Amino acid sequence: MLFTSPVFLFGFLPVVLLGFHVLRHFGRNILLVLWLLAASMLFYAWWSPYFLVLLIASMLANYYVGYAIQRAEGPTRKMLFIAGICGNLALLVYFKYADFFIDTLNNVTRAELPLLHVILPLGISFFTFQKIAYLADIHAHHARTRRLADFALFVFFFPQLIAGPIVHHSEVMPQFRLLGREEAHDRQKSRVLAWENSAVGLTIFLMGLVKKVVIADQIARYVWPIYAVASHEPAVGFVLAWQAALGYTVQLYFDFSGYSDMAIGLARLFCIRLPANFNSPYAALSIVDFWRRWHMTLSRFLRDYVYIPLGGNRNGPARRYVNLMATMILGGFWHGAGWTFVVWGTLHGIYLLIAHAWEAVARVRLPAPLAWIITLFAVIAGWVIFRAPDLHSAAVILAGLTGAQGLHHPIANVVEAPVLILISLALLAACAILPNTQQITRAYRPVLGPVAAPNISLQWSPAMRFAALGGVAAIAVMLLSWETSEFLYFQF
Amino acid sequence: MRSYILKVLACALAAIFVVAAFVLSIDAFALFGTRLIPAQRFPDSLRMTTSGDRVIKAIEIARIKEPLDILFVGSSRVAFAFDPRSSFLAIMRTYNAGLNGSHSYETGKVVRYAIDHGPKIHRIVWNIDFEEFFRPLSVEADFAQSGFAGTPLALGYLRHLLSYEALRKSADGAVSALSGGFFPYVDVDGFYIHRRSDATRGTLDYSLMPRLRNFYPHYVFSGRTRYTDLLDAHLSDLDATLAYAKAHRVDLDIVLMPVHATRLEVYQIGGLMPLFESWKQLLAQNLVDAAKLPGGGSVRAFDFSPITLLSLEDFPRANSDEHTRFFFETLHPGPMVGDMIVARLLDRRMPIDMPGFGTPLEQAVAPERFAEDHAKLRSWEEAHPELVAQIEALVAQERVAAK
Repeated sequence: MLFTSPVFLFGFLPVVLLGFHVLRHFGRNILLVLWLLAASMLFYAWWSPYFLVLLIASMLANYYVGYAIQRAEGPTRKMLFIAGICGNLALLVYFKYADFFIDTLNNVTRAELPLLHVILPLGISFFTFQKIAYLADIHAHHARTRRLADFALFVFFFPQLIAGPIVHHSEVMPQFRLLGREEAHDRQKSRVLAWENSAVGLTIFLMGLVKKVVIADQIARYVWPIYAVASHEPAVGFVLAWQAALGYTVQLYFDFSGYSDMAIGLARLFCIRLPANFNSPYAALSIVDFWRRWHMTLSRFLRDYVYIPLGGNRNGPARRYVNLMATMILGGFWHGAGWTFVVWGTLHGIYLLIAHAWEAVARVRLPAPLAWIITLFAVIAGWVIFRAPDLHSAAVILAGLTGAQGLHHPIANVVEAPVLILISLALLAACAILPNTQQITRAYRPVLGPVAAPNISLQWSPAMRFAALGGVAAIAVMLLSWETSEFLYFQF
Repeated sequence: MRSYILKVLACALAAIFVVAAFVLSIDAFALFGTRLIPAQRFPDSLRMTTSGDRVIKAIEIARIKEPLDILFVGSSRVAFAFDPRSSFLAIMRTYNAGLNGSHSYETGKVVRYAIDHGPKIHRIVWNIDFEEFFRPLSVEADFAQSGFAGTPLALGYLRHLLSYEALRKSADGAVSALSGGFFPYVDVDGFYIHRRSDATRGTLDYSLMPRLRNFYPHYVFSGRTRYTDLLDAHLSDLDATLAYAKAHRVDLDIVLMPVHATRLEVYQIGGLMPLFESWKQLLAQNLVDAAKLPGGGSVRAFDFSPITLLSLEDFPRANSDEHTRFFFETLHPGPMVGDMIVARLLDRRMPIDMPGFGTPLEQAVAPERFAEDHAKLRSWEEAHPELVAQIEALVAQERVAAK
């Protein structure tokens, strides 16, 4: 069930919201938590009831392993923790990487082991990370097991179940425990708050819908054919290469940040705040800055649960660079079972090493426009590798970007759209200059944590002009949503 | 905040109302019967085509009340070839359910849907293509939103009332009505009226092979294994549909549409000709078996693909004033060919006398028939060395691509 599909927008969501607000009147926390849990399970079962069973089993196993770790001491505690991590990783490796490893083994040893053709459960990369973080924090005495219903909702909460933001249990489980309690204490205040949550949630959700349906999906149709044919084309011309590179750069951001906005907006409709996932990444002035702004919850996870446990920057520069590289390669591999992702992660690792070396050695700050352009080009080149179906295709498109393969190189069934290049450039500039979703709704604390003030003031308020914009956005989404596609990050 | 939410909803509803009113007043797809444009500017019998044609055709089939003499089903080769309003077919009640880019798996679903939800059907004419046997048994994007896939027809109406495409085509319809012309593709009873000039003039030079690469899908060159892997699944699906039609006392005529010589040359140079011929033999055997299945309907099969006068037709150069008679381009035969096929199926006098056109498939797969065809193709090769060279280059390119 896509957030953009009619069945979600006009069936599932209104029913779940209505039930939530009816139950809110009773002021019983457990009823609300169970209602959201049931809705979330239905949401997942809509895609696959079989994998719902797997997810429930995995959730229960993690809950009880967490409980056992909490009660155990000494080596038993450690062993239980390792067993829990291995169990989660085993699931992820089997479903996501088994065929990749078999294929690689076949290529290296010329063995002919059959591929398993395993279907990837939606969102497995996301919820596996959340559960690993949970177990790690219990093991480190940073958290304690709580009510099973809260933990289950933490795992299943449908707004962020499939593609994040990757939430930390300490961010949402306390909020789950507060659901409905306000109603029991101060009914009037609770109603005002609920309407505010609904208005803010609806606004953020609509922004996400527009990003996905009106921008990302429309650009996608001029981008995917180029990547689809690149693997069997000897060359791609300059125009098509830039169309592919810039178009995908814009598509990916609007698709994924659109999904994140929808998740944040949907959660807010149910009075839950999620962490921000994007903070104008294409405004970054360095690659380090980019990773502070792009897929922030993943970066945070990799920092807290991979980079720091590896030693972080505690053991000298050389070890720090090794840790950084290992973290980025792992981050790349997390995105998909393919060499393109490994190369993409490695490339970003190299970018980071260069950035840190530059900082340590040159100690010169580049002018902001130059720094912005260099960072953006580095990111765009990385996205080509990230998106390409194989390394050959990536090489062909990257070579096309240099102009070495001519300005035009017509390919059957692929439309050259120079205007898309201009649109993409305009959108990239807009992404860098204009305030983002969180900044526009900053006055209403859209996400957990602080939101930086924008350079250009554009503040949403419940005024008529924004209501009219919201109405136009809704009809635009409705008109275009018949041909909407899956979110790009569903595959990860 | 409550009033803000109500304002958003009110604005959205107002916008929906404006769009719906505009779309209904143009009724570009002739679905709602609310068109306000005078009939001399946009006749009620015409509508614009859409990427949601599968959705519309499911609705149109369900709407037909009178018994149908013939239902045409298959790919775009059917959609372009059988004109229910041609002087030849006008005496019968027919509907063209051909779908662009479809293959027999989708067509099977169309046949079942038409039998279950449409009017009483006497005969179904079904075109089956060789290339479709390289494609997996799956459906095109808008098929899932159509009645053929079990989606409620009401959603189809909604799609054509409140979609960007409906809005855009409504604007196109209004502009075309005001400017006095029609857009290139409009259809009547499911038939695609294709403006011949668009195919043979303008920027595309249909006489040049490299320009036609998009009519030769990569998958045909990318492996026989794929064909072999999919063969049984395709044939079983076909058998199931044939059995269903027979059980419902519907006569079925399977046709292998005429194939232009350039296309046969692609098979020849691409090394696909033996596969093409063995496919025909397998299909013939399968259809003979299907004819013996229980049920009141008959199953016949005719092969129109061997080389005849019409498949040897040359294409004019770009921007010339010449027109083709039989083919729009190398893939799609035109309505004159459709009339000739129907004439053959119904044992009537053909518009153009052409002996041997439409041999029963069982007879067409005899080795001596194949040998005759090879000889004709060799003669064509000798007369068209430039085209043969272009096809060789194209096939070489596709082989590299397939690797």
